[in-house]
Amino acid sequence: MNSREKILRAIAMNKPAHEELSLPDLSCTLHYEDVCRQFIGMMERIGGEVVYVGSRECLAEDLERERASGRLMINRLQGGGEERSMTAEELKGLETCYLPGRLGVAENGAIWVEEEDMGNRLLPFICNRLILVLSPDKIVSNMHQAYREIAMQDTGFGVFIAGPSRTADIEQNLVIGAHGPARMTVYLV
Amino acid sequence: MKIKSHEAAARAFISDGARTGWHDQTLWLVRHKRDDAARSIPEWEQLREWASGIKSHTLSHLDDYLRMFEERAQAKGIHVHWAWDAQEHNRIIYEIISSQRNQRVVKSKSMLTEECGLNSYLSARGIPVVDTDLGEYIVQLRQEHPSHIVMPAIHLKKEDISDTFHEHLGTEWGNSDPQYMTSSARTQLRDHFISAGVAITGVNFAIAESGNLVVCTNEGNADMGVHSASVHIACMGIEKLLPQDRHLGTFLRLLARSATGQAITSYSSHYMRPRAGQEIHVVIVDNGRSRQLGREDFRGSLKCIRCAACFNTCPVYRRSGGHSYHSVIAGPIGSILSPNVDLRAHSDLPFASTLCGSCTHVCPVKIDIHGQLWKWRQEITEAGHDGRAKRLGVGMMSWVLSRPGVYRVAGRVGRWMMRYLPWMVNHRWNLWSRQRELPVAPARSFRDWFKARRRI
Repeated sequence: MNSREKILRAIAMNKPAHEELSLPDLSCTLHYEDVCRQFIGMMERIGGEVVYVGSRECLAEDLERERASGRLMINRLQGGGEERSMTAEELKGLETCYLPGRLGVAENGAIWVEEEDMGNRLLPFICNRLILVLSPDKIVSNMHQAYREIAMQDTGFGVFIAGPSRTADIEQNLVIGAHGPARMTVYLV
Repeated sequence: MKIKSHEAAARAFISDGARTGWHDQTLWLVRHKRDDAARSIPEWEQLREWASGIKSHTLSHLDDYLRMFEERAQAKGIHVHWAWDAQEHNRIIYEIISSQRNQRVVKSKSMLTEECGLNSYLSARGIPVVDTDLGEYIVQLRQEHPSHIVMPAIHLKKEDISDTFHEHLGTEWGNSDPQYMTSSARTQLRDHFISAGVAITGVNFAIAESGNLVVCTNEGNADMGVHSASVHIACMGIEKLLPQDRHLGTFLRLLARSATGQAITSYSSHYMRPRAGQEIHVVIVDNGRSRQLGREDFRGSLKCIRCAACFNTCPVYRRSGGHSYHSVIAGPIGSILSPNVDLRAHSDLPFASTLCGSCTHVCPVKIDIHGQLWKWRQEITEAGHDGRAKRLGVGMMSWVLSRPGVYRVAGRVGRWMMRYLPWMVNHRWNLWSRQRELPVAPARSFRDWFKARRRI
């Protein structure tokens, strides 16, 4: 008998009697009147920045400024380019990365980002500064609602990103920029 | 090598009073952050109830859900392996790595690989493993084990870490600035990520209906490894399953709030399909879990999501440190998981508790932790692993207490001795009085006092 059979047989013998699966009653979960305000408050608490960007033109100007700085940047807001096939070695000097966010969650400041929007799964982790662009009407109150909105079967990788990379492993001192981005900014457009 | 008992190891830890106090206060602060986070959610108690219910349901159909997980994961091109024990887990991983051209391995946090002793298994076969979580990296450089499952280096002061980094990474001597040290480690580990061929991770949640894997980190180290390397090996215990993706809502709301008081970790990554050219392997490990599932009193421990809230609140853990628990997982939850693996070796751990119940009250999946500790004590005593001194002492006490005449005489003698010859009871062979002061004995017993009152 192989280990698969052995494990499954042991579980079948030892498992408890059927327990009913009751799904959370979403009507009694936390909802915010002003999801946008709550989201911004959370983002500031977790070390992220929020910028209201008035129009697509303002965004284009910002991108232009970043491009002119001469530092390596990748903009995924209008779809992909050659970064799709870039390796970690090639991306290690990446300064700024612009990615579209699909959904924001007010209760914790998390933003859902999918592979199709990243092109390369390393991008949101290897850049020094991550800029996520989100539409304010894509913010929900809590995680239960978020999972109802996300279509997970359509993508290969997805991640909730809440603030910059952080650690408190040295005497509980918070240090921003552990392995991933040291700065994270949300553009609400 | 003989394992040091919890008592002996704790004695060494508390010999430095200032450090013990610091350890205690630091963890207590984390417990407070957890409380604040929990209070910010009005339906917190309801959430715990849902999480516990979802886990209980999953355990009652665990074999069906594992089969479903396997089928769905395989359909998406994920390789699924099954390991009966630690040895098989290590062998499977070694075989996967051996077949690779690039055998450089980075690993993010996984308590299961600690449990299985994967690092030493691989390094004995010429494959060094780099732990990439900062806390784990620190303890790995010091050739220690994590003392806490969420904060692996919580037993260390920054000056200790500064010495370690100076020795191994060549950082400035005496510079213990956390920012400086973190950035030095970041530079070192970046090179490891970029050159890695294999990334090993743990699994926080695996989803039966979709075959998805979820890993939560704050540092982003799991993702840096997984997306750089061409092979991802994810190691999970059989109990990590949830039936559906949407159940994650409940668990991600609970996990970080219970662990560190954060509303959510910086990254909650959902690995669903391999990227082009990448291999994903999942190793599903039993290693005694199906046996624990069969123990009615203890199966609830399999609901654990490894948040460590019970560590941070435990008065014994806070004052004795994780290394005093000679088990991979320390703290109250470790003390109910470990006796399942080896009852005799871990027979002292269920006694390393005050049974105050604080662990049970903070547990996000409502495991009756202190109840299970108490039940293990009974099993351990039944099996005769409770120690001769204790057995003798309790035997004598029960002999005295069940004989009223003897009890009265013993009480009188005891009171007289405590008053006039205190050194007779307060000596170094009396285990009880080692860390305690004996009270001043009253002149007469309650019984005498009560009889005298009745006469008036």
